[in-house]
Amino acid sequence: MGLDVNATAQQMVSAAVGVIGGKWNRVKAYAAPEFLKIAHTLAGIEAAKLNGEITEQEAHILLDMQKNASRSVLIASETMGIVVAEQAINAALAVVRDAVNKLIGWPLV
Amino acid sequence: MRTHIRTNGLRIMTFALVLGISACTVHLIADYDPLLDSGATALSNKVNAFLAKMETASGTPSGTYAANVGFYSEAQGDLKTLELRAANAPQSEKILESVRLLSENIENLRKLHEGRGNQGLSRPILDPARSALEIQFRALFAVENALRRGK
Repeated sequence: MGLDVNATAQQMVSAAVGVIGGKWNRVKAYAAPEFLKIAHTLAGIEAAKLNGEITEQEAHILLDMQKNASRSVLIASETMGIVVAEQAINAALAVVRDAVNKLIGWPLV
Repeated sequence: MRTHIRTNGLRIMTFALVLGISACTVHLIADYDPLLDSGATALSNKVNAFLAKMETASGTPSGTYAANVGFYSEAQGDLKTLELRAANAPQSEKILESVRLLSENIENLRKLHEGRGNQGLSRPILDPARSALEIQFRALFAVENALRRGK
């Protein structure tokens, strides 16, 4: 029985949600399809190994490449989450700045 | 009278300082860098062209590892330039890690090519390798796009 692509992709998504937390909804449109592609590729590597098209050593290197790709997706997702947080903080600060300037009557800050 | 003016002046200055600190923008991540973005795009094009060439050259003299070893050192040189560029910016750890992971996978591709020697890179090797590299470049572009929109 071959690798279950959907179950593998779901496991990767669950792991990513654990790292990214509440910001997952903001990045899932990007990250979820990428994890699904990686799961498909893992199944392809497994099939190529079983069919004798690649050696065990090559399979290990190719798996390592998919691992690095997964980490890249996770890093990109985290970074997008940080950008969202930064925008939220700066939007809040902008509101405070506007309120203070209005209170004083001239653009102090 | 003079003391009163001086005290009021000090109060205004303190107030302005506190406001200035609270109102400045917060930086949690590196700024968008158009040179890094264009460097990554150029490298992505170079890698895609190489993989397409290897697909058609598999099993021919132009697809051997020996005939293409130069590509790997050239790509690693480009990645080193991107790494140095990213390292120059504050709070760029995530971008640096992405570039290093890409460098690791170019090295992995080189090992696969070296192992195949004169056979070159055939589809069972090329397809999963290409998929991983494409995902990594898209991740780098997703980061750059987010940074561009966030500023």
